[in-house]
Amino acid sequence: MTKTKISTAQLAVLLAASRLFTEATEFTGRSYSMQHFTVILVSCLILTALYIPLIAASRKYGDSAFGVIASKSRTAGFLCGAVITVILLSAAVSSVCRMTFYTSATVFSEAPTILLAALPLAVCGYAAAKGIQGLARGSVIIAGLFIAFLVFIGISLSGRYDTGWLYPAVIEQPDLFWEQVIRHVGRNSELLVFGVLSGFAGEKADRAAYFYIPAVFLLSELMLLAETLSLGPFLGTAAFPFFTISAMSDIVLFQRLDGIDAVMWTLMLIVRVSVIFVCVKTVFGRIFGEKAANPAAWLSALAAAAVALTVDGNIGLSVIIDRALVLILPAAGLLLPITALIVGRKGKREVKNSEKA
Amino acid sequence: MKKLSFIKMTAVITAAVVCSGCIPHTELNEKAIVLAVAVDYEDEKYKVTFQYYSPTGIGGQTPVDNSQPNVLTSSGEGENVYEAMEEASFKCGRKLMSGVIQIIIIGEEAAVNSVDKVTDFAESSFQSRPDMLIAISSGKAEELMKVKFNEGTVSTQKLRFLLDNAQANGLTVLPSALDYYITLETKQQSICLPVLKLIDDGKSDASEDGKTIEIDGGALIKNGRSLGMVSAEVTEGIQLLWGKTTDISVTVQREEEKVSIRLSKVKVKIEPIMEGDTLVFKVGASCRGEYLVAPPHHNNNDEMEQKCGEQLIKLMKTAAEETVLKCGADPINLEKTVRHHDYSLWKQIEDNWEETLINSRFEFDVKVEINRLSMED
Repeated sequence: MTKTKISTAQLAVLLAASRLFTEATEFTGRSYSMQHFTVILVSCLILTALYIPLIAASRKYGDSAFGVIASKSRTAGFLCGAVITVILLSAAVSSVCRMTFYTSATVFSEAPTILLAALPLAVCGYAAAKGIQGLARGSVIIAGLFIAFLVFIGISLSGRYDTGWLYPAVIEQPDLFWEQVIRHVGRNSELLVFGVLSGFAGEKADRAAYFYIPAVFLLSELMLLAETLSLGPFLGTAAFPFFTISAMSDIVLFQRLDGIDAVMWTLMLIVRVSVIFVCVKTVFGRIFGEKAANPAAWLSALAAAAVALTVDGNIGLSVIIDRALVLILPAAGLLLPITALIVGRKGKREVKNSEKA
Repeated sequence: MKKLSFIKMTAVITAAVVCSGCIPHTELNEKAIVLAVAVDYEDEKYKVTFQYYSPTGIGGQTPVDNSQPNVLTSSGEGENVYEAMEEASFKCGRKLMSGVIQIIIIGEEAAVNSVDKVTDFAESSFQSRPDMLIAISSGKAEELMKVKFNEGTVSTQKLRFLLDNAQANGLTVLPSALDYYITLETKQQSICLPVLKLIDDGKSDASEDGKTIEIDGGALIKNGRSLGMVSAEVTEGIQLLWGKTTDISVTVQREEEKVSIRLSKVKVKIEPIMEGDTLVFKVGASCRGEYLVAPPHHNNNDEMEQKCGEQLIKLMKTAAEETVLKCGADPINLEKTVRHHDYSLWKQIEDNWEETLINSRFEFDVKVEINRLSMED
């Protein structure tokens, strides 16, 4: 069993920050439609269903799903670890490419993309090597800043909101609706993160999911509402809607908030990618021993950097990765706890047999 | 441990200091901080003239010399606005910084050709402020850019004050660039932009050469291009129907005298209803009034309230007739109103929207409540 290192609230914040980054940097497939509000609701319900097996495994064994697999079967642990590492590192590369594209197109147009990708990754590698406790504490501060940022935007744009842009429609295009729901669910790498890291939050890690899913639902809906009320049909064409509304904000101290927007999402990226590196570190630590953990964190940072720098932070790679992961991520999130339950039961039977013998 | 931390800190600080020069950057004094852009279209070519911040260039002694306009201008020509901007940038010898553009003025001919093609450069530049203003010039926009006001920190400030003040008093429509980008996503791509006119009689003390700029009605945009100019009365009506006017002054005739009344807290609500084959817009407005001059002692308030209401109805009716019913334009964004109130109705009529607009009807109901006391009482 993993030693408790962080609280359930901290785990919830880590998961929420990671998820919100993905939500806010969804640059493709946006449109002005009330359907999006329903998409978020339905995908959060599906997500809740996907978390049930993970929570069941966590409650039954008092450890993460991956922890159970690794402790009961080395072969299964190795296979699961390899799959988790590949999927999560792909998600990290996708996130870095998105952020590089975003920052180079907006506030850091003169900075070389190599720096925009390499610097955050170096910070993430360092954060992961330092361990989950420091990262969890840091992410709580970043989450606080993010909430303050949202409040600032909410207040400063209050005079510009136009409720006329809202209209009564739940599902406008059914075909597109399910496609959007699948895409939304398919970007939840946090399923695997929870499957690896829940052991660090102790036996009541399941509570993190109870906080995290409603929090992400609420914040995603609020962000979409702010975008819809401020941009109306321009939401479908604005390349970076949240950046545009940040630029509209006019707060006495800061004037426009678009620069702060870029800083906020860079911090959220650091949390997201660091969490992924911590996952890889944990996977390696559980399979090859604690000595392999820190080099694994640095190696994963190097691997992600190598890929991101090779493609020069190309958004095209991010789109390809996200498309590929759409079905793989939820499937992996479902198979991981099921494997844990099977391996765990088998392990128990073997223990019983050996006791009988 | 302390020694290790010291080494790490030293390494980080050294890297920060030494590596900062490795990032390509442009110093602030090497940039042309563009404050206003004018775009003209002539002989199938675009001509861009921009005002950029330069206090020392015009003889200012300090970084911000309030006695000077603090701006210089530069012009360039090209097949499109980007090319023209680039040429203007080469001419002034500085790299453009478009993050603080306050206003884009589009020449009359360029607006007739395409407003989209002009604003495209700002829409695709993430540096640009989405709340900058867009206006049309009566004649060439370049001429307006040459007027350098003495008032304010920079010349553009005066222009912005002029437009903001006119909007606050309900005299003109004043859409931001974002409002225009939103418009482009609607069916009619329609909006009304303020028109600026150059007054060159040498009598104005606002600028060194006696020139000044005035607001002269508006330009009606449909499908991303100007259909022509509309009167100030129409722009006032559009502003009212758009729901952007909160305060407006009206002067009504009472017996043999003219009485001015300030109407405040103006609220306009439009409700679309389908009556047979005709779409009817029921416009309800309410506001409070206050006499700006002392009313006669035997003043009949009900009569004055009615007269004020009639004035507002006249403004809104003229605006609706001149834009929606005559041209099939939608500068009030009735599309949004219909979709918001009755989505199923919108789905029925969206394919035939222009025809529905032309054949629609407006019904007005205005309630004005005037305080019996004047400001003088």
